[in-house]
Amino acid sequence: MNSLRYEIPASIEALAQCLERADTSTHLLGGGTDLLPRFHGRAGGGVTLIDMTSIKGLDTIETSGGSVTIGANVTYTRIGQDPFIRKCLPCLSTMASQIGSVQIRNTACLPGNLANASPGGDAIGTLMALDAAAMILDAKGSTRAVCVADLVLGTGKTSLARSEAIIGIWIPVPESSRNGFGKIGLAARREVVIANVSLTMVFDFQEAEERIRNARIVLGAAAPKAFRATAAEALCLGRKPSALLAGELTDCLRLTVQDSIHGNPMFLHKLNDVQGLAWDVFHAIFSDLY
Amino acid sequence: MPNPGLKIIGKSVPIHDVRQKVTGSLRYVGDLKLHGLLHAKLLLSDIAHGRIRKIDSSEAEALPGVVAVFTHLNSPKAAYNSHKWLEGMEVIKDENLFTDHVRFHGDRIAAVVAETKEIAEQAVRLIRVDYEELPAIIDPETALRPDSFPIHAAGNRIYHKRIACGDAAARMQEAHLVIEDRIETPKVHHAAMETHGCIAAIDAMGALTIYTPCQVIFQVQLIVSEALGLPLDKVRVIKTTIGGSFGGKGQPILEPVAAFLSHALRRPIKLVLNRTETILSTRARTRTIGRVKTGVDRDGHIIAREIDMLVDTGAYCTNGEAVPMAMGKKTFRLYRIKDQTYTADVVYTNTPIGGACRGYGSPQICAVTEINMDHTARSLGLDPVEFRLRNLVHPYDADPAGGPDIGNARIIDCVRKGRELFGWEEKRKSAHKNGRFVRGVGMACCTHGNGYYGAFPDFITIDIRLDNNGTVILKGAFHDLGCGTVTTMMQIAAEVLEVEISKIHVPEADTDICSFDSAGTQASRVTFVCGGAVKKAAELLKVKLVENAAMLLGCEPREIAMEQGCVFRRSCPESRRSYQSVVGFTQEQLKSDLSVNHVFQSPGNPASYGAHFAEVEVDTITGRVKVLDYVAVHDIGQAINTGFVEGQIQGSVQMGLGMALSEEITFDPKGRVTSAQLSRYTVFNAPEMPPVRVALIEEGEASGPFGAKSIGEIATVPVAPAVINAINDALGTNISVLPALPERIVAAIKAKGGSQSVGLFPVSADTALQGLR
Repeated sequence: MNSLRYEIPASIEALAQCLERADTSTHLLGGGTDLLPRFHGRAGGGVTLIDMTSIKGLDTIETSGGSVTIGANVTYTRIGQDPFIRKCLPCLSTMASQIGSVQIRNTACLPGNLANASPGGDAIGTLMALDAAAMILDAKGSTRAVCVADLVLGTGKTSLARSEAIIGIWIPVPESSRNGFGKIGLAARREVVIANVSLTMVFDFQEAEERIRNARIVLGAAAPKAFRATAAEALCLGRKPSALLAGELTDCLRLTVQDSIHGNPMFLHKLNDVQGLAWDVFHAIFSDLY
Repeated sequence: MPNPGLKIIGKSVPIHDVRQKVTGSLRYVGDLKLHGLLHAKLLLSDIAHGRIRKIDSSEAEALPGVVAVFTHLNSPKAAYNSHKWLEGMEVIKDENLFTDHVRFHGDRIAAVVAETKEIAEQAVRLIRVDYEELPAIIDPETALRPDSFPIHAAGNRIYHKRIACGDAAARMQEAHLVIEDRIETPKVHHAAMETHGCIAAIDAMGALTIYTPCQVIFQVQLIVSEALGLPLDKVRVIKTTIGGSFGGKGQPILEPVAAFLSHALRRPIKLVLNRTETILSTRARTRTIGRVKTGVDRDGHIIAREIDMLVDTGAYCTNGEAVPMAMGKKTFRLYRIKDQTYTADVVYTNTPIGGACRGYGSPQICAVTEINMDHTARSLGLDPVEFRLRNLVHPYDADPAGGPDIGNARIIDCVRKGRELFGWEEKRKSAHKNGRFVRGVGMACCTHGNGYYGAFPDFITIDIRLDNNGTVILKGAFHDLGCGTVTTMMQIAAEVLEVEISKIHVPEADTDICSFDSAGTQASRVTFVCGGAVKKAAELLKVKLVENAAMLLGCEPREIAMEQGCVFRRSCPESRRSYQSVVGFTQEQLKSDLSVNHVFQSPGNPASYGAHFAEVEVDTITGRVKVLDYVAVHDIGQAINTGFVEGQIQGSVQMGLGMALSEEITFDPKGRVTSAQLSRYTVFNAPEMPPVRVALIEEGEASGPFGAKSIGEIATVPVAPAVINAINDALGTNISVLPALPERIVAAIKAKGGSQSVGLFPVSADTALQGLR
C-alpha cells in the first residue's frame, strides 16, 4: 500500500538528483528532531525522506576571509563548542548550547530550525541578527545564497521550493563586535526551554571609542516571525554602554513586544520576560565596562 | 530509635522490579498484546457545555477496519459514580459511559473500535456532532450564584459541610488581632509518566478480565459491575505495572468503557489515552477558593479560626463529598485551636472532573491556612517558626472535633529539626531584599492521616503461607504505584519471619487471587494498614511455625529460636532445621498447612506530620522564582525503607513546587482547556529542582507496623505554602493566588507600589543600577 521511500544521497550531486524527483510528499531529514515527532503516531506511508546526514562535505565549520560557513550536518553541540565561534560569535555559541536538550543538540542542525520556521526557532533570530545567509541547493545542482531574513517568511512558511535544500549557513564575522543571546521559557522552565521570548544583540563596538556604532537586535518568539527591534537599535547608536542605556533598552523592548503581540492576553507575560532578558543579555555583553 | 534490633526494617532496599524497569523489560498495559485485540479511541467533547442534538457516525462506521461505533444511543444508561469503592457507600450517581449532555471540554461522547489504533484514530475524526451550546461556567463562585445555569438538574451546589469545635465566632471578638485571607488553589494535572489505559477481555463464559494500572481492584470491579449490570464474579481485575498515579488512576475511568466495548463485541479491547486526552478527560486536583480568618491574642496564641472553602469538583461529582471532609478534618489536628469552625461548599463547574490527587485536599487546605499563618505572624511581628511553635499540637493531644487520636504527634520536633538543618535564623537575617533579585525564606507545617479509620471501613484480608521451598507466599490486594509497596511488604514479612527478603513472594492485586481489601491504595493507608496487616499475619504464621518446629524438634515452643530461614533449639544450635523441613513435617506428619488467613482491622488513624522550609530568589523584573534551598522534615514514626521514604519526599516536593509556581489547568473564555499538553502545562523538570534535604523524625507510632506512619501523600502537602511564604517574605507581598506565575508576582509587586521599573515607567539611573545589583 503506502510505502515509505528513504533515500540516502552520499554527495551534493546525488542530493540534487533526489531533489529533482521531489514533490509535496518529500521531506528532507537532518537531525530529525522536528520531523520525526511530526510523523509520530501517524501512518507514515506515501512519504519520501531524503536523509542528508551521509552527504560528504557538509559536516565542517570553515572560517575564511571574515566569514564562517557551517555545513548542514554540523550539530548544535559542535557549534556550541567551536572555539572560533565561541570567541567571535558568542551569541551563536550560546544559542547553540541552549537549544533543546543535550540529546537534541547532539543530532539537530541549523537548517532544520530555519526550514521549520517556528516562531520559537532560536536559530532564526540569532542568524538574522548576524545577517547570515542560507546556502541553498536546487535540483539543477546550483547553489545560491538567501538572507535568513528573506528565507523565513512566517510560522511554518519559508521561501524554499520543494526541490531545494539548505546545505550550509554563511555568517559574516564582524570585526569589532560584541554580541550575545538569551531566552526565557514558559513558567518554571530553565533548561530544555522552548523560548517564550528570545533575544539576540549584535553590536558594532569599537573598544577604543567605547561607543556603539551600530546595533542589530532581534526578538524571537514575540511574533509569528523573528524581527529586528529597530527602535531599540536606534537607541543604542553612538551611546556608551551603561546601566542607564540598559534600562532604556529594557523599556524600549517592552514597548516593542507590546506592539508585536497585539494585546493577546495569552502573551502578556512576554512583556516582563523581555525586560529581564534585555538586562541579562546587555549585561553579559558589556558588564565589564560599567 | 524505637526499634534497635531491626534487621531489614529501616534499611534502603532497592525496589523489587528495579532491574526490569531500568532495562525496559517490564510490560505496562500499553505494551500488552492479546490475540484478536481490537483498539478503541474515544471521541471527547471539544466544547465545554452543550446538549448533543445529533451524532452522525456513518462515515466512521464505513471506514474499512472499523468494527463498531458506540455513543449514548447504543450503550447502557446506568448512572454511576466512579468514586464509590464500597457497596454501601451513598453517592451522587451522575456519570455515564457516554453522555448526551457534554459538561466539560473532554467529556466522553463516543468510542470507535477498530482493527488498529490508527484506523480508530482516523475514524473518530469522521464523527460529526451537532451541539446546542450552553453557557460554560468555569469559575466556582459564578457556579454558586443562584441564577447560574444548572450543569446538572439538581443545581450547581452539591454539598454544604460543616465541622466545628467550641465557639469560634464568640472567641473571635476577644482577639487582639484578626487576620483574614482569600486564597485560591489551582486545578492541577497529576502528570504521571504513564497515561491512562486499560485492556478488557471477555472469555467464553462471558466473564471479563480487566488489566489496568489501578489503585483499587475491588473498586474497578464494583464500578464495572454497576455500569454494565454484571455480577461481581463476572468481572476479574488484574492490576498491571503502573507508571505513576498520584491519585489520578484512583477512580475507574476507562475500565467501565473498555469493559462495555469488550462485552458488546466479544473481543478483547485496548483503550490507551494520549497526554492531551489524559489531561482533559481523566481527573484533576480540585480547585479551591478558601477564606480563612484567624484570631490571635497578644502572645501569639491562636484563639479562634474560621475557614470557609469553596470546592470546585468539576463537571461530575466523583469525590466531591469526600474531599471537603478530608480537608476540614486536617484543620483540627495541626494547631491547638479550641474554637474553630470549618465550612465548605461543593459546586459543579464546566471544567475537568475533580478526583483524588496526592494529599486529597490537604495541599489545598494547607495552602490556605499556612499562607494565612505567615500573614498572621508578620502582622504580629513574630518569627513564623516561633509563632507556629507556640500553637502546634503536642504528642497525644485530643482531636477537638472528635476525630481519631493523633498519637505520637512529633510536629514540634520536625519544626525544631528543620529550623536547625535549614539554617533558618541565618538565612532569614541575611536574605537581601534590595535590587533586581531578592531573596526570602518560608516554611509550612502539615498533617495527614493513616487510612480511613474513623471515616470508612478499613480492613484487609491477608493470606500468608510457607511453601515447600521455604518461600513465604504473601497475598493481599497490594497495588504498588511505583513507590515500593511490594518491597515494603516483603521487608515487613521478612523481618517478622527471619528470612531473606528474596524468600518473600508477593503477587500484585488481582481479584481472583487476593482476598478482599476494603479500600486499596487510598488515604495513605498502605504502609500503616496493609503493612500492619502483613506484620500481624506474619506473626500469626510465625506462631504456627514455632509450634510445629517445637513438635519437630521435641521441645517447648518457647525454646525455639529462628534465624535466616532456620529454626533451632536455643540451647542446641546444632538442632538447626530449615523452614522447608518444618513445612514438610507439617504436611506429612501433621496433615496440615503452614498458612494463615487473617482479616486485619485498622487499629486507628494517627496523624503524620511534616515541616518544610524553602529559600527562594525572585527576579523582580520578570517575576520568575528560583528555589535555592529546600529542607523537608517528616514525623514518620519509623521508616520501613529509608530510600523509598526519601524518594516519596523528593517527588512530592517536585509536585508541590509545580502547584506553587507553574502548574495550572487554564481555560479560554468558552471553557476550552488551553493547557492540555506538557509544553503548555509546565511541571518542574530536573534542571529546575532545588537540592532537597530530607530529615526524618523516627519516634515510633505504637499502632503502626514497627512504629511506621504514612509519607506518600503528606510530603506534597506543605510545599506550595512554604514556597509562597518565602516569596511573600522576599517581596513583602501577600500573594494569594496559586500558582504564583511570573505575571502574578509582577502584579503583586506593582500592587505593593514596588520601586522596580515595570511597565511604561521610565527607568531612573538609580533603579537601573539596582537592577544590576
